[in-house]
Amino acid sequence: MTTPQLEISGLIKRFGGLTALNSVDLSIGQGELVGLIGPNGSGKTTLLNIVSGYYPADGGTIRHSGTSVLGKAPHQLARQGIGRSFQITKLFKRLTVLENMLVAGLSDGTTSRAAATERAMGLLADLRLERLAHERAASLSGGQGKLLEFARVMMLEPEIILLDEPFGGVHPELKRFMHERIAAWNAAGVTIILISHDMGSIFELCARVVTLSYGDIICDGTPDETRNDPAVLDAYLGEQHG
Amino acid sequence: MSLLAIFEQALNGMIVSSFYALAALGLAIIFGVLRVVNFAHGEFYMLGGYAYFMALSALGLPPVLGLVVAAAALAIFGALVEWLLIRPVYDGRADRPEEYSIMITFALSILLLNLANSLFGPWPRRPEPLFRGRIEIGELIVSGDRLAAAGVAVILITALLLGLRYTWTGRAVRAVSQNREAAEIFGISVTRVGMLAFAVGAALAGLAGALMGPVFNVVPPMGVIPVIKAYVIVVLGGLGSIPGAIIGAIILGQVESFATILIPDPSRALAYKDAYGLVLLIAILLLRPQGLFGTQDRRA
Repeated sequence: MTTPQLEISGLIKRFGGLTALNSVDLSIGQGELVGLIGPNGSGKTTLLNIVSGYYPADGGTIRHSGTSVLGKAPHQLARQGIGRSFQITKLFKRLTVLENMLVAGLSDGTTSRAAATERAMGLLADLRLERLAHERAASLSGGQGKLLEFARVMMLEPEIILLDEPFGGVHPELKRFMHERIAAWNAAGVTIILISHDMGSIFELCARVVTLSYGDIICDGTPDETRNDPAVLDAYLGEQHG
Repeated sequence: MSLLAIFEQALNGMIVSSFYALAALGLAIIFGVLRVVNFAHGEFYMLGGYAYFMALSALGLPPVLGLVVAAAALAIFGALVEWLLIRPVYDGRADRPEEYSIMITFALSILLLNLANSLFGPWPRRPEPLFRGRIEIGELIVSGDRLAAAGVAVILITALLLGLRYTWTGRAVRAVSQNREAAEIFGISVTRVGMLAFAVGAALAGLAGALMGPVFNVVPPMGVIPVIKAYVIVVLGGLGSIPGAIIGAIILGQVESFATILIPDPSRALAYKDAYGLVLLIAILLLRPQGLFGTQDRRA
């Protein structure tokens, strides 16, 4: 049996008296594209924050390709192949677009500047940002900022990408382009966990959808199974939905 | 006022600005990366003066090597202070990090000042300057020690700016100062960058103290006035802004230089010199609290 790329077992996170994650078990294989959904406050972003090293866990284990990730700093996990984007774009606004890319691309200390620049320009071209390479990130539009954040995540050559609400406030045409890129990276073997309130995007892109509610996984199945699961409908619409 | 007098005041202003900029840049880098207002910055300046003095008098080193020793000693000291005292500000150990950073740097300032008084005594020491004598530029006569110190300061500032702009480490420092969370997720160790920033900030303060020691004497409270000016400069330029600190230093140096000659009685004029910066500080806080290059959402 092959080792899962990401294996979460009995994960617990509490904020004071509030249990944000209640012994969550989740196993994700290499090359999967998994949608993570749930109402506000269900624990989705908390889960991402623990996997990417921002929050410590109060219990349980997380293994990436068999190696424990708990206790490691975000920069160590980034170098270990776990990339992520944020719900609100976090660009280095006073750096140029290319400098934003190089900060990520040279952080491992082993890549040459020429190789990193070539990779950066390739990714910027892939995301239609190459003509803006020498512009300051502050001058980008909201959509271009989202694309730059995508490109920057890919500079780390990640094995897993955690995408937190990438489609928020994005024009439908740009959203279509982002769908294509996400599908292409996944087809190239990158494992992706996608958080979104945009059900259309989740059901279109993901073969597997995991639903969280009050810190528990209430459904783990295909888009059809998720759509028809009474527990999911209860979580989103309340118990009196039917 | 003659053209020569104007030029003389402008040159004096620029010389003073270069020292101010060196001290203020250290403060700006530390604030930019760590969001810590270092109240012990003046004492780092003072320690730089003593390190330079000791390197020359006890070790018998020439002035240029004395500067290197002062910079290295303060960088190591700054790194230790960051590791032992400042890190709780951002590693979650301090419950109230902003209050903690104020209290710990303020306490460190008092401790270092009193330690220096005990170790070196209150007597002024005058180390060897980089250059003795006078330099004549046409009818202008400038003291050599000041001009040489200003020249070194300008070289150091230029090297710092180039390093920040063109090296990966410089980009990492700028990235952390702009968005700490994002820098972490793109593989930058914010802990290492924080330590580096504090070490560089301390070294810059120490270098400013070492360069100024031969001009104004080395005494335990020598950092009090320069650090007040450094605070004025970083608020004027925008907290944490590197270009802001340089422009702020130039403005303060020129304001002090020209305002001084507006008062006819020279003894009174010098007595008011340090007040101009404070007037400038009040004006900037009233008119543009975020400073010239600061952004309104930047936390103070």
